[in-house]
Amino acid sequence: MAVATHPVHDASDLYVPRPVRILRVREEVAADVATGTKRVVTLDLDRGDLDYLPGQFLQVTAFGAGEVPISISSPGGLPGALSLTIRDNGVISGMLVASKAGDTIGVRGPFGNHFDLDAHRGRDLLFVGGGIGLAPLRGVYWQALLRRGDFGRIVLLHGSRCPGELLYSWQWTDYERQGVEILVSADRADDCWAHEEHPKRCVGLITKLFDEARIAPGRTSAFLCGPPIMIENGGRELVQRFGLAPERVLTTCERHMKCGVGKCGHCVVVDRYVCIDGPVFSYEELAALGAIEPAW
Amino acid sequence: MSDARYWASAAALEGILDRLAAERTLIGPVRRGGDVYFRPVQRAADLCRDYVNALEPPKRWFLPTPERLARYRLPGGVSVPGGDTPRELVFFGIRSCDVAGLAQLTRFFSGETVGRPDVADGPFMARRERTTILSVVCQDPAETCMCVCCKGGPALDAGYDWQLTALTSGWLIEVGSAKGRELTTRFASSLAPAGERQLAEQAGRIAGVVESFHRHSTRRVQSMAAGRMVSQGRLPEAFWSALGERCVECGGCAFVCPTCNCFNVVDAPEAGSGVLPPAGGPEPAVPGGPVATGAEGTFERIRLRDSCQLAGFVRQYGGSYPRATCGERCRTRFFHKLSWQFVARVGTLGCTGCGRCVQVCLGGIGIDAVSQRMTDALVGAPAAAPAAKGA
Repeated sequence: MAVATHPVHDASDLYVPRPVRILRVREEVAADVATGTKRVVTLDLDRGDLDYLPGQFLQVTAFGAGEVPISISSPGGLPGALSLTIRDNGVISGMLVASKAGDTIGVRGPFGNHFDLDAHRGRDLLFVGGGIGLAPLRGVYWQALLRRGDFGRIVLLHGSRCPGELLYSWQWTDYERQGVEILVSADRADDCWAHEEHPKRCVGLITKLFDEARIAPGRTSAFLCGPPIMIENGGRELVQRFGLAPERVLTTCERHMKCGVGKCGHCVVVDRYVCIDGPVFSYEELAALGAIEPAW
Repeated sequence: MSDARYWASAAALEGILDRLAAERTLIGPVRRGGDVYFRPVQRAADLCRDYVNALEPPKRWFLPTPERLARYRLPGGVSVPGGDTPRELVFFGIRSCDVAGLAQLTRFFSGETVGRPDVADGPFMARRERTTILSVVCQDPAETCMCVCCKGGPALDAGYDWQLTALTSGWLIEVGSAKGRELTTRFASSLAPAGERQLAEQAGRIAGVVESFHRHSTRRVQSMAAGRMVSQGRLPEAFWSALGERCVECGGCAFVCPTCNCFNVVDAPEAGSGVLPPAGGPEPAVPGGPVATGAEGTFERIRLRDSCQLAGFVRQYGGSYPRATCGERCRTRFFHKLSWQFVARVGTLGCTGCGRCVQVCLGGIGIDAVSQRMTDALVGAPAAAPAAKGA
């Protein structure tokens, strides 16, 4: 299905959220005071006629509190719900996480550029998601699975601070059945961690999984998202140690945003607006921006 | 370049302004206490005649703060503020630096600057389209004025509807737009074609301002060296942290800047709606931050002016704080104002030389001072004058 990259707005409703109904709420991660783990839920929304491309984001309103940018975690161009995976990080995200099926939230968008999967046809896809950073990638690998034959190996690396914070584990078996190789890591193991063997796992930073992933640099495109330090180190390692082309290492940036349409100025990095020039940037672009201001 | 030039006597111009004031809202310089502001006036006689510029640029008339963007009732749907068409405004007496600033804001909010005309800012554009600009060429600039060095004046080639220059007798009027031509047609009986002598007088007066600037002013918005240093990221962290030490984070520079456009958007209970935040948390965690109300009632989404110099401008929940130090925020501001990257993107420097940031900055880091520091960082600070022989 053809989707316009840039949503066309009636100028008068640029900042007006449209109400959408929450169909389902799935708890991905339960809050745990002992480990400092915050609750994460996936909201499935009634998307109506809203369509989008993988990697785009929405400005999501918790009515009565305000608006935050949230990546879309489900594939576009298909009927079915639109998923947003949200962590209870602050006032607005906290209200969104606390919402229930049947509640109404507001959305504007979709905004931003996207991951162009056509440019990676015939290549191996390596997805690297650190913590909640897997959420924006989920729509991308899901989209890739819908056209599985277009790509070589699809490898999914997912790491988090502790095993309880890993996302979408309920879907792993399903992914593997569709030919995705999954490797997971946790900075700190718990009692169960060592006793389970599947999927393949390690204790440590997610970058430790690179050695296990049998990366073929000439034919691999990498998609990274996670905390800034992971994007910086992971990207550098893939380019410098594994020899991936810097323009084939793609990442999606996170910034505070108020408008989503290149006006409010909050998301500016050097001379780029993350909301309209991004959020998807290549490692090559970020490294060039980094000469003036660190972009990760 | 303007396509037609006319001459009007002082009395004829006053008559034109009086007629415009009667049918639209005429906004011009007025003196309140010791300061000059752009405010609505009832008749031309109320306008202040001896002023250099208002401390506040005219952007407040295009980006009012706070401004309601949307309104909703809880529980329930979203309602848009309906159909309140902005007033027809006529600005008289705004200076070229502000005309250039407004032109830059218009290109930005129309989406042209970022290559996205599909996301024009409706409220801004509606106001801009209902505005007529009758600018007045500045002939006695302030000591802080620098328009000459960044194409912000004293006279402009475009951006106005009428550009007026006061002559020894009467006014020279340059027409710069279709809206301006409509005015000339309408007030044709009050205007006469400008003669050679009047055009020569205007050219002489403008040349005098330019020459005086080059001869007497030590202030410059930019130098090649400054542009090179900031655009190539060659200024060390110590340079920016030294600036950060001087900045008091008041945001004044952005609020008085005719080109600064950053804003914040918050949802809040509508004034007088009786909705109160829940007990224990009426204050946001950070200034300007969201407050969870969880209440029923009427809310509004409001836009407020913001500044990249203020702490919290890019702070995110979850611990990420990209520009946590004041020095880093200074780097962002001056990169946006002076870098080649933004010139390439916007078409001009992010400064029109009005000098307001020089006037309001409590830390003495107006744009000229920072530019000079950048130049010094490349070429070295000028050597102290050698001591006189035999002293």
